[in-house]
Amino acid sequence: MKIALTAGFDKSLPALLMADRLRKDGHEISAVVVVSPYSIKRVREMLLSRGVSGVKKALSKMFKGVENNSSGPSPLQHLKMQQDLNTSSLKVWCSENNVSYSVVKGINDSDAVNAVSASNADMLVYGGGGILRKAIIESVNGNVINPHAGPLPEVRGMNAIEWSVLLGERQTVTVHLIDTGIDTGRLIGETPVPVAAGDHIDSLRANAVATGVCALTDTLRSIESPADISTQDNPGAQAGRQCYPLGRALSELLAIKLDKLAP
Amino acid sequence: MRLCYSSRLFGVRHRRSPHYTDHGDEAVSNPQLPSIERYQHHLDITGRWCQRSAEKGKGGSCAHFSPLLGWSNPYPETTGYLIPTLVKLANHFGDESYRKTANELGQWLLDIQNEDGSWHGGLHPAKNPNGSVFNTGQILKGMAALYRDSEDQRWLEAASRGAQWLADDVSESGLWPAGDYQASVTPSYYTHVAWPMLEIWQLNQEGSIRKAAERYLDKMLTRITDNGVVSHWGFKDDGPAFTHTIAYTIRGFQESSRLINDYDRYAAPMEPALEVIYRKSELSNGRLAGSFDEKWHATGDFVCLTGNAQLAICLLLMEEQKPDLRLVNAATKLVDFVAKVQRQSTPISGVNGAVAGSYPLWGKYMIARYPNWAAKYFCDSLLMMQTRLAKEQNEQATGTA
Repeated sequence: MKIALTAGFDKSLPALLMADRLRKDGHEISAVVVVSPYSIKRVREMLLSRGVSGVKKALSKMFKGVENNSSGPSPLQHLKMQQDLNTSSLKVWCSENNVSYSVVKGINDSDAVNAVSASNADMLVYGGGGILRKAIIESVNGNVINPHAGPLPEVRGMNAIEWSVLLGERQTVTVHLIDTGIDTGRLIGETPVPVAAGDHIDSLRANAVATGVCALTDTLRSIESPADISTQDNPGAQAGRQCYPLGRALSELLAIKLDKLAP
Repeated sequence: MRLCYSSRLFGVRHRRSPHYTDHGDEAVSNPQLPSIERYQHHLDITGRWCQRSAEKGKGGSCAHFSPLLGWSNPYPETTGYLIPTLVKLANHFGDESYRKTANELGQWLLDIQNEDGSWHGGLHPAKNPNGSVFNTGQILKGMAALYRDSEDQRWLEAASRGAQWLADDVSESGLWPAGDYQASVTPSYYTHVAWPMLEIWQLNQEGSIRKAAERYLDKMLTRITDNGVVSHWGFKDDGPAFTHTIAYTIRGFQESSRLINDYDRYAAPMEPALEVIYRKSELSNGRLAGSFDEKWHATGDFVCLTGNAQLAICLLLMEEQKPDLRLVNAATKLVDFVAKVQRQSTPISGVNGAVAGSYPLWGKYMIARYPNWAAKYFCDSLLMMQTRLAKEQNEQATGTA
């Protein structure tokens, strides 16, 4: 299958891992579309939704990529080692694998839509970059697939794995199709995200992202055409309340709950 | 005597009177959550500012402080609804000076009550001594709070006269005479008058007061539009509404429902508007636009800080009925924004611990002034938020959440 992929920034490790795994599984990566971090609009939106500390964190991730922490490699770094990847840059990876690489100002800009259309992709894998609008979704006939770090339809939106814990929902990654709503597209499958002893907010999130990388690539492993993917309704998704980033107080509450939750 | 807040942060118990369940005045029992302590600090400095507004108020509480003009004359309306906040602060901090201030303000309001039971509008002394519907309504909250706190009949008697004056003036069609303030039709935010009327009805069981309040509220239900907006909820007939009066309208409906023990009748119809507020609060990370038109388009690039605090309370009230931490999250962001822009270390006592009308200070709402009602609602929101977070903290820690 021909697959195009989006990324929120060049050093997005989840996007890089998905691209590499899909290629190794025999799919053709026909295009990688990366949103430029040098956009005032993007920084402004990020500032509004995440605040100054959120922007600092995001910018650090954009430019440095995922780093090992004091307790050892993150789950994504583990995957990177397993996959024997020696780069952290999508640009470098695309160059090494002869894949079309585009940097766009916005994921819904005509440049992005044209890049995906020109690649003749059967499917678009969402690896970040912002909310997708109709034009880019239709450029692959609605075949846009996403690993969402929470159960659907119960936990839509941002910080989903964190909200899953806070709201007492199951901790899972849901692979689903993207439509013009927020996490309202048809469902494909769920994979549990285990909460381990000593887990904290960052490790929980890292586990969920790594689980998402594997769940999405596993879903597509033996698929030859989007028509082979079986999907089901996402009932009541439109009606459910969307989640947004945790504020300070709720982050503190989550830390308490994680302490109690870990076996 | 004033104690250091950290020495009596938690575990304060206080009197509760019959008939009434208030918000945000339960004792906070666990000091672990940093945000609860953070809110406690803001509560402390804002509460002290409220007291300063009373010390400078020539009997009442000053309407506002202006860096250019200093303290204003006292404002009977907001002096009235500051009283319940002061009583809560007394209970919360175990500091009787707040209760003393509340009683002194109450006495001042008794002294200036009109013969017919009403209170005049605007600042005191007033050019026009005629009774004002909205202002009388807000003062009833102070009278009710003092009665519940002390069971002293003189507060209830004054409140009953005021509530009866309001009830007698509601027309058969459910409106008060037009032209009471800036609008030519009865504004929708007068739900914030129906609420205290029902509060007095709950205390004195005078059926005509409840009937009049319900007549008005039922009329206002007909003004709810498809997108949740209640038409005429701004100060003026047309044009955008500040979040301050949007919150007045919503809260009036919510509290009225609580008082008649029927959530579906008045509070549930506010949910569509609150869902919009929820999304906008989250998307702006608490920097909510200060005014909206009837299509929910933001008008102007400023934050109405009192509106932020008031809407946080409205979200928490909805959440009390339909528990969902997502609503609490949005409310914390609204409150956190106010906390972030509050001035804490200036040498000007009228600014230190005050909450401005707008952010930035020159924003459209109460330009370059620090109103006492912004401080009042900020205190109320902090009290309520602390209570909610402490409850959640205990539940999360014990695994009962």
